[in-house]
Amino acid sequence: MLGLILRRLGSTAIVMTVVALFVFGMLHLAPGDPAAIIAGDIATQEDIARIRAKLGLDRPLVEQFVVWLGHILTGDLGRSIFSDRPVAELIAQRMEPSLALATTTMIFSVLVAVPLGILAAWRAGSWVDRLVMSFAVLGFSVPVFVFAYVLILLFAVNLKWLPVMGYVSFREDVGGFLKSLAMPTLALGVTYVALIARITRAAMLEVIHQDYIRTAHAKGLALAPILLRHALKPASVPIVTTIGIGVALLIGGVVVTESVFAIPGLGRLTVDAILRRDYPIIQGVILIFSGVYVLINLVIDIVYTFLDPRIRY
Amino acid sequence: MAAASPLESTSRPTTGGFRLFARRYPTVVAGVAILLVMVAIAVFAPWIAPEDPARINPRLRLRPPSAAHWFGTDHLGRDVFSRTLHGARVSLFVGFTVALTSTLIGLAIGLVSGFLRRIDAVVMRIMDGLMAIPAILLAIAMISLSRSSIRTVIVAITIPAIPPLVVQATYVCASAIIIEAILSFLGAGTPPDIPSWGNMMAEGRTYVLVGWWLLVFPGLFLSLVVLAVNLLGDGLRETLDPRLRRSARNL
Repeated sequence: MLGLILRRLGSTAIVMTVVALFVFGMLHLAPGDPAAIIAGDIATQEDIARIRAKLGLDRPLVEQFVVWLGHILTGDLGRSIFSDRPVAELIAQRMEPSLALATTTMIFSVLVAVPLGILAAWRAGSWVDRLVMSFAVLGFSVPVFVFAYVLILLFAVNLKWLPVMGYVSFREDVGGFLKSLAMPTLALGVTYVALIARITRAAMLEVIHQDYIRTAHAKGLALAPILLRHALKPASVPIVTTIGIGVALLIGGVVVTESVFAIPGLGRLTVDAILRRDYPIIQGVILIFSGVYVLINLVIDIVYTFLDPRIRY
Repeated sequence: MAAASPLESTSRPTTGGFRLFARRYPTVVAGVAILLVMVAIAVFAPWIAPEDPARINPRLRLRPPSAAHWFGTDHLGRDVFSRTLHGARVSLFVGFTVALTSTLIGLAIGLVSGFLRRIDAVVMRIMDGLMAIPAILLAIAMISLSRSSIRTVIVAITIPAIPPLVVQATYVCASAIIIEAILSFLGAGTPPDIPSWGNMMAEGRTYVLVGWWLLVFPGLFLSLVVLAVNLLGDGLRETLDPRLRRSARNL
């Protein structure tokens, strides 16, 4: 067990090093002078020289990378070019709304998608199954921001049930918090629900036809324990994998959803940073998001061994 | 990739064969039909569109759909119907190009690292690292480094699409179309002088309270195209994968 965790930690470190190399290299691989890229189109020669000196871009590349990596490992992500404030501080300030949205979406999606998938597998071939699967294809095809505007036009503009946009912190007002996140969660959740429902159905179908499930039926066990205990548990490995891989999708979706609903989270920080070419922020956000993604998948890999004792690395 | 030939072999050129195929795989037929219409729209947009998509008409700003302007007009008085038709060009071009190039590059990398074991380990670590970065963020970061043009957008979407190596081309195509739209919607994609569904919705979002048609029509076309590609992809997988076919018969 300990050996497994250590080995997985090792490969996680390698992946994160590659990510760091990539984030660092991107600026230098891009055509043109990195200082000029950061300075933007209307910068003077002095601006460019100032940025080059400030970011140490006049040093050898290897030295730059080592210095940069050392800063990152001590939690220093550099300073924003636009506001000159520490990137780590800016990211910490914007963390709450993004984390809240990602969490509500994750909970909502799993709670809706897993039962839908089980239902579709249990009644495979029926109209219920076809309905769930049609929804899954549709959910996978309608882009997040398109569905978000359908919801806004319906619930905010026409019915006036929910606020058009904005975010209320749960520390201020729990009711307002839930209201402000209702539409974003639904919009962001649709793709995720489609993804998880589909894999749940496929994984359950694979298990349901096995002999021991027939044995369970034959010995007169009720349907619910068969589906939930005997079938869902072995089927949960691919489901959990998909939830983990889907986090990448979720992160991309958070950026877009926050932009649509004017939620002041990491996504908005990113979009503002792109428009201002505030490169240290973009680098920091990519590192944080990728780190979260890799960590979640590391945890999932370890969780596997509890779900399925046959898995040994 | 060998998508077309088995399709043809199951649907014989006779109408009876086609009817049988259509009955067994209605979704594939629907997907292909929608795609064909969209490709036709994209190719012939300059001739079908009633107006020049860039023509500004200040006296006709934000008019709802009418007989003269089927999809209404935008904040500059441009014809939304003509712009929506032209928007098909960017989406389909990006989708097909990214699917093709990422498949070819993925194939080349797979072949080379399959033969040269020493390179394999390094290449796979690089791919793992690339996969750890969410595709949209990676694309955004790459675009922020250079001027936004269709070519930059295509490169920025293609690179994150390479690492999975074995993914159905239709899936890559669908997600490329979505990512292009998202990038354009965020203001980091197709330049504003070329109408794309994403940047039309970006311009329309300011008028969400007064001009629903600015968001609904481009959004509808975008969703339809992605849906068509996904239907085609699902259908192809079902027809090509004998394992799936058998399990479907069992049910």
